[in-house]
Amino acid sequence: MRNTTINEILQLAKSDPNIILMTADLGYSVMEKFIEELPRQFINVGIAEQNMIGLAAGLALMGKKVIVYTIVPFATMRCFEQIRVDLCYQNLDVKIIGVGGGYAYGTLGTTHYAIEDLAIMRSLPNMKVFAPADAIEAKEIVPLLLSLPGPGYLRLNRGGEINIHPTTQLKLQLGQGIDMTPSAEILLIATGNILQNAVAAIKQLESENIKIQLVSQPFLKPIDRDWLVAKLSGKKYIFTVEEHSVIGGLGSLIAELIAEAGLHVRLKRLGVNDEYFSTIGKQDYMRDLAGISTEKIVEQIKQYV
Amino acid sequence: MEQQDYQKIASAIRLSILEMIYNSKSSHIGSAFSIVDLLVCLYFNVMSVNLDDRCAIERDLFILSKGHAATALYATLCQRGYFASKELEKYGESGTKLSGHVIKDCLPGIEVSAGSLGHGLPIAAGMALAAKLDNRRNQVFCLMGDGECNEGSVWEAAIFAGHHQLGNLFAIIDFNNQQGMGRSDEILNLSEMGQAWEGFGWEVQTVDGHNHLEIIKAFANFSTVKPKVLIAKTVKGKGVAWMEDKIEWHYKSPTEDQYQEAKNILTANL
Repeated sequence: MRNTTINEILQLAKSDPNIILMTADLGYSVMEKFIEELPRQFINVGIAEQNMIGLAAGLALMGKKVIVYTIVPFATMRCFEQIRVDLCYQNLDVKIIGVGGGYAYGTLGTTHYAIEDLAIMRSLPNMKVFAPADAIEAKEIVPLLLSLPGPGYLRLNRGGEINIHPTTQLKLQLGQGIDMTPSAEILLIATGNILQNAVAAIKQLESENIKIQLVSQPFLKPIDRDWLVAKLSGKKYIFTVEEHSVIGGLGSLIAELIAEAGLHVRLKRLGVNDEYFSTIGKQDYMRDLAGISTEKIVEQIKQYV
Repeated sequence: MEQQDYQKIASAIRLSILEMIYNSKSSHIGSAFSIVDLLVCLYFNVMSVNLDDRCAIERDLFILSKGHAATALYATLCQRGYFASKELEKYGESGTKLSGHVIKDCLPGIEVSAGSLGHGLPIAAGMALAAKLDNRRNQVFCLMGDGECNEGSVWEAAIFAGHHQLGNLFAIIDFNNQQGMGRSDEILNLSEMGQAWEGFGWEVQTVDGHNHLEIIKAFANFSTVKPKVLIAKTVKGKGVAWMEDKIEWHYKSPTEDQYQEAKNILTANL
């Protein structure tokens, strides 16, 4: 997903010399091809994220199209106020790419986990928030995000993920989810790479004769409200799953839609329950701890339906 | 122009600031008075200003990083002819864009929004870098407070600009030794900050921040390919003796009597 994203940016940057890719000293073994081919369009600003966002704002004010890249907490939280004031308040064309969504950095621990980023990025006016599930979604989403004016945030997993979608020809519509299965009374919506576990979970449930409709929702902002409300309507149960806090991300977004559209349906948000874990572990282990591994998704859905 | 010509322009600007702050019952008059002479030098001599082509791609750019001194910039731009003086009457009025902290494009000549300290220099460095990458002749000027230099982001940008030899970048420090709760050298002592800038690869000069000819001369004397910093020793509240070097004028708005008194002092210097 990481390599696909940088490669997409490289292809776009080759035909647009105004595109500048910046990193705060992360991207070893990811950036090399870009640096080799377009050295004048690449800047490593050093380990200084606040300055990176300010520099990006200054470059954008002078007509550049800037993409900044680093690990999610450093890309979104260390420099949150620079994102708010310099990018969002001034509505500048700077796109933030965060790598390591959720527990992708596994054993590196909580400093490197990202379970709050979708919530804080969603709260910023003018900010777009996209979280692709795999390289296939990322390949479509990167050019779409770059074509939109103003600031944007792309939350990636890491690298080396399996492709979840059975086809490489996705037809994405801005704000709309992607149907993974036919319609059913029980709806599960996933955002980001946890889609992989959601797919495995519904397969298992199907073998137990519980039919689940699955939607991948890479767009957290903007959303196609009408499309989503139509999806949510007429369901018996709705579940959301995200590798993120249950506060402020996909689950909150869907809860807001259900409440405001006056839909009468039971919703359960699967995600991280407002806590930091004192233990660390590989991504699968952390997902299980947070209750969003395949087994835990199955378990929780069965509890409710 | 002679020193006295600059002096007169500065007094007219201070008078405008006083009017804005008194009429809106707002704060930060001391911070605004502190930078007036620096702004006069920049806009009436150092920077290339072309009012017929304000958005020229190779124009000089100014960022007021200490955004709370907004009235000083509004008044200076007005005095320089960027817009009519009736615009200043909107200052602090509900429904206008004339905020106590500058908002990008709220008036002709306002290039960047500010208000949170430590944001200006990174943005200025980005602008200077863009000009350098495209071989454009823009010079970028960023005015900060000495208290503002407590912010780590200032030093992140200082290191970057020094490393990349952004010779078209000028930082100006309004060094009035006053900040939020008292004297800067008692809160966090940066009185030797020149050495820090130098260490990060900047060309440094220190001047009397109210002596117009000295300021102008210093800008002319900058000679290296390095980014440049002018440490301007200033007095908060400069121009009205009883406001000078008093932290309370970071917060207070003048009473009617004080307003009249200050107005008389400044008018006498016109």
